[in-house]
Amino acid sequence: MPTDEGSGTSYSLSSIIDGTHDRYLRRFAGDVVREGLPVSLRFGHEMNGSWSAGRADYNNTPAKFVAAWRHVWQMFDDVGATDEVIWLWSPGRADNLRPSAPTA
Amino acid sequence: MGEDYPGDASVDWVGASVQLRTSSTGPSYAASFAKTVTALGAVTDEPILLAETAAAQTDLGVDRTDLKVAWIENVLGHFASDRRGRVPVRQRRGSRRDQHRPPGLRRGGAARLSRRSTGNASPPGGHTWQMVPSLVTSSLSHSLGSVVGDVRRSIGDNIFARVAGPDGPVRHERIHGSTGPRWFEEGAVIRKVHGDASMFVGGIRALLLQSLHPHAMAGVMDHSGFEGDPWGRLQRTSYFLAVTTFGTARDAEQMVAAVRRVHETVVGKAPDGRPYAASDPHLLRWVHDAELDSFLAAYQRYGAEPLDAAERDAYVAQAARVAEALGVDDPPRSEAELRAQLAAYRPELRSTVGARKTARFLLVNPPLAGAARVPYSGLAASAVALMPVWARRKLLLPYLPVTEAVVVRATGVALTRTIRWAMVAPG
Repeated sequence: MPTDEGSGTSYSLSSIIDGTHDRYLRRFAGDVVREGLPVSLRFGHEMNGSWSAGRADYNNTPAKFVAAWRHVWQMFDDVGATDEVIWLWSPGRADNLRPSAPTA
Repeated sequence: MGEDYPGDASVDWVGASVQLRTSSTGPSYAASFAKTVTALGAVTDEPILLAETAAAQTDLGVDRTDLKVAWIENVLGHFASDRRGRVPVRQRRGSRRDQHRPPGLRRGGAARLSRRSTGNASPPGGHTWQMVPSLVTSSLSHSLGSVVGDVRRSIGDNIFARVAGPDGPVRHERIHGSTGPRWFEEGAVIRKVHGDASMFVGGIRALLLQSLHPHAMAGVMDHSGFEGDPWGRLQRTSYFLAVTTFGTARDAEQMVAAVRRVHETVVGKAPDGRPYAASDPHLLRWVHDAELDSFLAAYQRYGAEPLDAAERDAYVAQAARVAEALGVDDPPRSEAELRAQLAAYRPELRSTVGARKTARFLLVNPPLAGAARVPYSGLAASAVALMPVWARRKLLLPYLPVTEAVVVRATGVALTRTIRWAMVAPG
């Protein structure tokens, strides 16, 4: 899970959103198209979890997560890779979370 | 959780990561997956994948390996029978029981099972986690392989009767025996395609594809019979195609008028709250385009001889005449127009519970007895193999790897040679 805590990894939700990693994403998406086999991508899994994503602790927010997800998706769609990708949105255990309105 | 959801447009499946741990209610589904599945259902209708799971080995330092097996069986069993966990897989020969597999266990057990350690920010309780053993159920290739041999020995009489209906022979005589002008001349491409046995595979594929439009699906669920009555619809479509393609112009006009009258009565409100109408030209065009795409795909793969580009364009243009009579708005006139229109419908398509129920019903529960079920499953597999990848994963249809696709193809060829497409095939 990319975080905005400012340490550790060289990427974060914010740097994904602002396009810093677009070259990497485009190359990845191009490889998927050339390979031609279905793959499943589970970007930022357990984004709702307090133990791993820790959005408050790591300066992540749901809005940032959604924006980063859509940015990655758009990069793939631009090169025609979305037909090969099963986009798997994978939150963690949701027993004690309050579901809010769909954003679809 | 809903506020983290990017929206159906950029999501195909949703996955749950749920760990099995001791609970006051015991090793139960209610204590583990049930709430998560309910919460996911409040956010979206997309299929749920069991993405990650593990079972506790100890609780507060006490060894609980005795509970593990009960946990795993209980949870996988319930998850599989949950309405959102049901996957349309083909029935194995000789088995009358539906086979349910958790979504994560298709494609050779692709579920990602991971290990959590106690040391790293573990959930409360101080558990030791251990991987749940991967359950790889029987592979599709096994059942397909056994289908091929049976298919070659089976005649599809039961399937013919099911599609043609009890009045098949009488209708056949009226369609082909009456004299008078017809919409399409002898030798027209549309007669070649619609008279080919590959239409059976194309017809099943069309129903699967059409179900992805929520308004088409709503109309079917509200106004057709049990589970959307796919067999009845296949039968009615086959009759409609036979009359408009081969029958006299007079009969064709009467048939079109009758269908339009029925369409007028099919109105309602879809689960998304928007009104739908079967006579809506935009919706009619989706149904038409999905049929053309499916009939062409099946004919190219299993038909007498594949059409060249000019013939495919001619087929689409000829079919447009029937579509316009039915009230389709701006039907495609060439293969390129057909492709462009289908692509434009993509954002409207959704995997709804109704669509998946129909797919399952169509693929797993054909209302056929005994041996006829076996060739049918080959036809269904052929139809699935022809589905676009994006549509297959929306409907949770099994993915068929390359080697299995070859077997399916052989099955489809054998079947379509054997089975006459409804009442239209001459002789």
